[in-house]
Amino acid sequence: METNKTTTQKVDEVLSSLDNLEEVKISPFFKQSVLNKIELEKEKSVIQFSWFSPQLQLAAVCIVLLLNAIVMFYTFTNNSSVSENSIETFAQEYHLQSSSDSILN
Amino acid sequence: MYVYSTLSFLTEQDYIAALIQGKSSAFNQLLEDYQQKVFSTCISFVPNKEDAEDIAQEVFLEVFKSISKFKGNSKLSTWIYKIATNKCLEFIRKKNTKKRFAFMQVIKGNEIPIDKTSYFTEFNHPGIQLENKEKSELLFRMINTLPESQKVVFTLAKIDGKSYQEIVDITGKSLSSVESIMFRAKKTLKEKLTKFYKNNDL
Repeated sequence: METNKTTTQKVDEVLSSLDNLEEVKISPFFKQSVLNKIELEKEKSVIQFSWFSPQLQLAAVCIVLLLNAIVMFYTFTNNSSVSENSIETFAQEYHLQSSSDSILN
Repeated sequence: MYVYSTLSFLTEQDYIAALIQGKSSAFNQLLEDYQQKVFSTCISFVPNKEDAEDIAQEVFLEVFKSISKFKGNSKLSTWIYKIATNKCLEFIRKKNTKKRFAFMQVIKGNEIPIDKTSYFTEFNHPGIQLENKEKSELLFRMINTLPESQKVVFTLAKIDGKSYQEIVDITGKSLSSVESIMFRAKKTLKEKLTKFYKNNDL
């Protein structure tokens, strides 16, 4: 019981340790430091294209990547047939040997 | 060197409008009005003067960046205290990563380790008398193990000295909810401290 009472007393002492908390005064240089940082932030927003927000930037990057992906997709799927057609046309134009069968060979 | 005059704004709406326009005079007034209050809130959560000042600076920078989003649904002071509370919790969460292991020890019923490098650089709360320093440091560490809602309500009420109505405005909870959370916080702290003393046999 004595131990319990002591523990309870200790717990109460800890819980009341902040009862007489004194106010801590902020540093006198705090205000000027914050105002300086705010001025720096203002300068940053003037230099950049303020209308071109990070969301717009991200959207632009996504669009560019998408366009690249589309172009690459069409390039690789059509590449073989396009090149074959080009070679055929070239060969016929200059009466060169081509892959197609011809009785005139 | 900036020289400002302390202008008195006709209404809070004029004040907010001037802040949105980014007028230096308005921010000068803002700091005059709130720097001590915001710092007091920050040092209540993070009992280290340097850490608390860093957080307080971030609060005012956030106010500067976000003032255009302030809808006027609450008082300006309430909005600023919300930002201050969130910034403090953000700071504590980042620093608390190391304490996850210690918390698991608590769950397993093992001795609660006193990690002296937890969520603040060093216990440095100049407002605490020397004879209470050890007990206060223990109490702050115990508060840090509370669930976040209990931590916020207890800290704002008992350490920062805010009224229950102010806490209702800041947290968005009902008065009965705040009272209930406060009761649970005190109960939890008593249990944790009792367990700590029994385990440490002091």
